[in-house]
Amino acid sequence: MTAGGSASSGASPGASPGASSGASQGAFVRTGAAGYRPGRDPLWFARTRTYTLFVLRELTSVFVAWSVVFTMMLVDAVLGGTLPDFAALAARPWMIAINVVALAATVFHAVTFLNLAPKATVVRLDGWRVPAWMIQGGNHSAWAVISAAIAYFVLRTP
Amino acid sequence: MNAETDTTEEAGARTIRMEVMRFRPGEDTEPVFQGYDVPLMADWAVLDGLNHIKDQLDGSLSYRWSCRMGVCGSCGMTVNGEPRLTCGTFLTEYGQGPVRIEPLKGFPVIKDLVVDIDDFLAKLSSVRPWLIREGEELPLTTEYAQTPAQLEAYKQYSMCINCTLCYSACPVYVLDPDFLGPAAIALAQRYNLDSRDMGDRFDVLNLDDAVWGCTFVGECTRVCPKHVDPAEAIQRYKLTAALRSVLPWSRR
Amino acid sequence: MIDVLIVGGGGAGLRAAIAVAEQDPACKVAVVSKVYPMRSHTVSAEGGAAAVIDIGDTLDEHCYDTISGGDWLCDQDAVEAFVAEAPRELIQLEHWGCPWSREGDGRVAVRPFGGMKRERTWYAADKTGFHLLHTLFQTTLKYQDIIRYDEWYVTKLVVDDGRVHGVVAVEIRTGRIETIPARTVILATGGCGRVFPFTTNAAIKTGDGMALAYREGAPLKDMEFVQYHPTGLPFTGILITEAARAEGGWLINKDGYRYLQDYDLGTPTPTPKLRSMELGPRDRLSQAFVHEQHKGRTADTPYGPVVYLDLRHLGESKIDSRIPFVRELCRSYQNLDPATDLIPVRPVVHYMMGGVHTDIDGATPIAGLYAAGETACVSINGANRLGSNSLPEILVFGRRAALAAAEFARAHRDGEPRAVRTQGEDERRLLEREREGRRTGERVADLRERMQHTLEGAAGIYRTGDVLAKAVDTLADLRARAEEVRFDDTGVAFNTELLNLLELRTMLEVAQTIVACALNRQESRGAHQRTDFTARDDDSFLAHSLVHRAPDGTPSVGLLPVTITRWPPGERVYGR
Repeated sequence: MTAGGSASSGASPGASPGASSGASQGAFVRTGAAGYRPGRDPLWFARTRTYTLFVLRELTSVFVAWSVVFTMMLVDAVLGGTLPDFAALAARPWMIAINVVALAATVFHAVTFLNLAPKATVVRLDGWRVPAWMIQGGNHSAWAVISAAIAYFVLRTP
Repeated sequence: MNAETDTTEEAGARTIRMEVMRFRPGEDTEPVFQGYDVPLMADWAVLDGLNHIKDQLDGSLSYRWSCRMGVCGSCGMTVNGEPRLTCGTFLTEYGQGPVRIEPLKGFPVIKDLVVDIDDFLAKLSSVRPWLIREGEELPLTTEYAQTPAQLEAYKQYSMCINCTLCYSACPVYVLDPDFLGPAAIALAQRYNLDSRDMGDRFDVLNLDDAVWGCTFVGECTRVCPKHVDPAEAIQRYKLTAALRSVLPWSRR
Repeated sequence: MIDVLIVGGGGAGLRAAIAVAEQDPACKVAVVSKVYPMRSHTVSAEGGAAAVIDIGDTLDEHCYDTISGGDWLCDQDAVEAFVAEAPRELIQLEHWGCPWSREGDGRVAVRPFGGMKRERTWYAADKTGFHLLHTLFQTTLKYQDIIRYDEWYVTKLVVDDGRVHGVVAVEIRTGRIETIPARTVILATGGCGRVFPFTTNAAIKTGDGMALAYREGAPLKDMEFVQYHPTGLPFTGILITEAARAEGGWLINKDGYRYLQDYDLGTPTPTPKLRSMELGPRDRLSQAFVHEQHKGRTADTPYGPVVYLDLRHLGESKIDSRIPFVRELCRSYQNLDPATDLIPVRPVVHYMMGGVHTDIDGATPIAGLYAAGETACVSINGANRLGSNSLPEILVFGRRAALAAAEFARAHRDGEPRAVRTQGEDERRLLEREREGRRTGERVADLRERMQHTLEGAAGIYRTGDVLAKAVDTLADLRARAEEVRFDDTGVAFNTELLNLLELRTMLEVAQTIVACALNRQESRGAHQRTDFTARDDDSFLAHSLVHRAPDGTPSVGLLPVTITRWPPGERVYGR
């Protein structure tokens, strides 16, 4: 941690909006600024478990993006007639490793995303608030059904 | 407090170590920790421990407190790394100790455990947290009707005690003090969702430093002692703002 | 120069500030508060606010309940004005957004309350004061012209030639001492529950406004009337609202017996009956507790004897919808659940009926000085305040004082006298000397504790002449010792030890007036019960106590007739 401004007078930016007597903004009277401002902590996310989990969730976005790129490569290969090359690439051990990690990350991202949905949309039926677990359950059920449908179309033997 | 002598002595044998952050402006350039041993009593909150220090061990310690019943919002501090109301956090929760007491993170420190929240107050004011009406007012003989369901629609967001624990827990606010922050947005939503309100707070909420600054860490909701759920308030307004941007004619 | 300077940012202070800002934008108004306004103790009020709204209720009935509840010591002209204006004030709060609880059709809901013959108590679940204060605070933000001195502590009123000219205040954060000149000052600093050891009152309630006025020569009134609320949690003193009984809660002793029936408060019924049993007035309920204790029918705990509040039969859903805060408080602070457990409770100091003597417009005998709310004694509460009358009181009289003060300020446009500077300089020197600290002497907290136990012993629910006389001496001694206390903090910034010292001296001064008035009143009335004078004595004491500060600093008590308009003194009847 580093030392901030000293206890001398003079408002530091950002903290004391009504810094001087009779200031109009917010109209509160304040003649001095706080003494100590902790510096920014570059490792803030490592300090508590919940922050770390949050940052991990954010990082999974990279793998979600990779999954999109990979899918587009697949589509490109199908349309360009280079599917065997693509299949060979996809079968390499390091590629499988990446995709296993990507699948896990995407699932983690999807699960947490769907769990957060009730926060963004409060559903009321005739004044009764639909509880979060129902919305989450609905989301997961819908997700499972859609995934199953896609799997059915992709995996069915022609 | 009504700590009677006999009970004090009875449990007086057991103590717990409180490590309290001290910062004296003008004298210290860096905060230091000072340790105090206080009686470990079953009924004592962290605040009672601080009061014991102030009254019996070291009168120069500064901190804020008032109602000691979790409703005035004064006594928020960082207790073992977590933002807590010290009046409702019991010493026995920390077993053998030590308990580390620091000021709320994310705010400049004035002295010891006292932080500067003027910035928070300015943010509260900026969302126009009052009932906005248009047209003729009803006379002071008639109330605006509001059904229990309409009351329920915003009630939760009206429970905020302005303790600022959510700001302290929010990494976005700690990294970027310009972020409007959880409590102010929840308060804006308290009025937005009030059936009597005719105001519009889109201009102050639909900003990079307002709802869009939120990355949905969710810590604000986790630490909120009054179950206001500011994270929900913010996400709901994101949806409102997004719909409004797509459908410019829709209000709210 | 400030036109209207308000000391205190609670309900009365903020209501006053809005009244001025609304009525006359040219009138410069400031609120000086030792805490951020939304921290003020109004925030802790739980049960509700009384005002006649329902068809079937009348203003006269509210007047009668208030006057009989106050054992005929209320000024009846003040009560009539109060009762008449209370409904418009609560509706005004509604128009400002207060989340009052509602009936199914959208009208404001009302609940029964102690000592009230009709259901007329408006409520916002059981956080009425919290919602009221936050609504007021947020509404003040609308008025950019209201100047706020947040966390400034007023140490002195500047009074010259019988007229107030401003205040001297310390900015707590910096320690800066400033004189703030003002044409009028409204004191709205709340009560002084902290002079007692066991109180529902927040730490900030140290009687500051009472002492500020008293030191400058304004009299205090009816200081012997201290309200004990019958249901506080042991140890913390946290209030369990009367609404818990209004919703059907029972008070039982250690044998499970609804003991109030033994004290002329009616016969038990399964559901609450107005002005009966658990819905009797607070003074009578607290006195009944003492008798139960003497009969050995209270239960012992490490924090003293208790009886129990039984809410179990109300069921979880009623508790959660009507009194959720009670459940929250019991779970967090007493580690029990009222849906399944009995709540241990005992009487706890809650409210000061007395305060700065004012007229019906909040004016004190010092020109330009006003008071409103618990700081003031108008008086509408007489010898015992009814629950849910204090919230409308702060609104009605906050507004009345504000309008009167603004009027005074408009009529007195002269500049500030020399006294403002000289008195300000003197006070500054005094405070700076104080701040140098002292390494020897007693601690502030030790003297405070002595004072508190002296008051509890002498001026509790029952009082006796010789104990009171002894307390007079003890307090005089403590006051002398408070001039020479040990004091560690020599810094200027956020020096709460200096504040605690100033508050201690304030409280000692107020404590002396409580004891002096209690000693002088040789009768029993409302919350003032003398074991040596057990009857009400209307011939000698149907009068307010008026206490002045004598030149030597001691209190000097006189009497002032009560204003009676339409309700001649009678018997207080409950449950019959």
